[in-house]
Amino acid sequence: MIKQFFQSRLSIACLVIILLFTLAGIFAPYIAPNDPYETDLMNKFSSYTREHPLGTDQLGRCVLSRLIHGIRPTLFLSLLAMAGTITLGLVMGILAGYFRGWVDEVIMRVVDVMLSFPSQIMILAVVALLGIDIRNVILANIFVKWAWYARMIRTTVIQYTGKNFVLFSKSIGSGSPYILTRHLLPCIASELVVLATLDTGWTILNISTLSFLGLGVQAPTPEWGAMLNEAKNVVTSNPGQMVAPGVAIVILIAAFNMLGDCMRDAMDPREVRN
Amino acid sequence: MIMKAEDIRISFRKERQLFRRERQEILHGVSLNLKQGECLGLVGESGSGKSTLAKVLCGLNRPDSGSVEIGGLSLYGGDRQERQSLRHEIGIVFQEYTSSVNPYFHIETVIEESLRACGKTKKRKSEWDDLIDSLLTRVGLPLSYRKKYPHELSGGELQRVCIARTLALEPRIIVFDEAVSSLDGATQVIVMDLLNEIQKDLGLSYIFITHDLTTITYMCDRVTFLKDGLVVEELENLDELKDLKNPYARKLIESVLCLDA
Repeated sequence: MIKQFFQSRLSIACLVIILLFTLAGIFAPYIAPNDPYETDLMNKFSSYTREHPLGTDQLGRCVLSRLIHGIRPTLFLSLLAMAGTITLGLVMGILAGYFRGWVDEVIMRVVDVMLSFPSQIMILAVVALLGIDIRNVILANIFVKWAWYARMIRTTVIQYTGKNFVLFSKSIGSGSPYILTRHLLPCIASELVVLATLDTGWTILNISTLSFLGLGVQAPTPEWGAMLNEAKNVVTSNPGQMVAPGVAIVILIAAFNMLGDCMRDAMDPREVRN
Repeated sequence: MIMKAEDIRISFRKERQLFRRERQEILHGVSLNLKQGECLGLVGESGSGKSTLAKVLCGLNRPDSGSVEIGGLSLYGGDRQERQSLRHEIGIVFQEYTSSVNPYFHIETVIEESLRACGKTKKRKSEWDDLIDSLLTRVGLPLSYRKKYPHELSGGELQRVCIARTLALEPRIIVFDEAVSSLDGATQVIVMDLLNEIQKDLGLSYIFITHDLTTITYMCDRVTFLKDGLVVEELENLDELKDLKNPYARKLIESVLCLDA
């Protein structure tokens, strides 16, 4: 499986991109050429120089340094949100799909309710209710998204519990823990991984959007969405300000999306390779 | 008498209607006896309840009423311990070999699961390896197949894997639910020869479910005809195939004889 994954050039490229971003985020203080918080009003909107490779923003802060420091909130917060969403969705989905009956009814009705809210408005409502704070943004993301996962996982679990290999497993008395972890989880995993990687892109975008709207990461913390937000004020006079965070978001999200596709191909042993 | 099923009734809920929950009975009181070392054929058209009966006999579907006893112990009554111990006495081989095996498992893991389930965990890894090797040899598969995935095997080979993992339980009874029906003619004969050989060597009892009468004549000692969830005719001897009393059973036989001619 892992070997097949590494046979694709695209998947390696995506992985390398994500890994580079992650490493840059972790070692941000050592890599960034300048202090991301240091303002220099005399030198605002400077063009690309050796000292400031991507120029400076409206307060004269180094854009590249802010971009590198911005990886931390952008990437790590979205991964945190994803982990929460998957855990909640997986548990709920498996409970509903495997045990059926009233457990299923209760969980699925809650899911139905969750899914009937428009997600962006729901997030706004949750953040408005709990207060403007990045922790609340993550909670809101999990709150809105888990239902999608629960429903998807439930369907897959139901589909697989009817399969003969699960029936055989039941007939010989392998316990539910064995069936759930050894039989069902790998079957779900391939679909889950694709959805999760694709959705990591969505979450990054979402956190950036909320920061852009001023509800997520607060100034002066560098975050890509927040940087775009600051840049939009000067979009007519200095459109170049939007390029750096915009391109960074596009690259990272595209990498996650393509990685999702590659992973699905690699995890399916029946996949025909040429 | 190794297995005794008495008056088994089972029903499933119909498609739910507003304010009404109707149940449809699939088996209307089926009784079966299986003797040590024999092969009992179970014949009937699709929808006659054969597969449902197979699941009941393997402990997968609890019947609404009636009992299944294996060697004097009750499969659905009794305490948990008793039920668990009976689970290894009876194995099942399904028709759909493609969905019978987890596509993410190596062949050796497939067999390992059976070994694990029947409490051979205490044995050392090397003993397991030996057991898996001997089981693969037993069903006539090369040892190199251990590390293969199910999709790399042909239908006949995969069905052998299913037989091997059932044998790993060291059962006394094996239920074959249309186990050879989806294989091609030549492979059918090879698999059936293998099954006959295993039965002779290990003294197993088979319940062979099929809609194909030629398989019955090849494999079975006794035949039970099932129609619409009822036993309509029981034959103690295959020679009696020509003088059947029940019109439905006769029709089934005649259709085959007609084809043969």
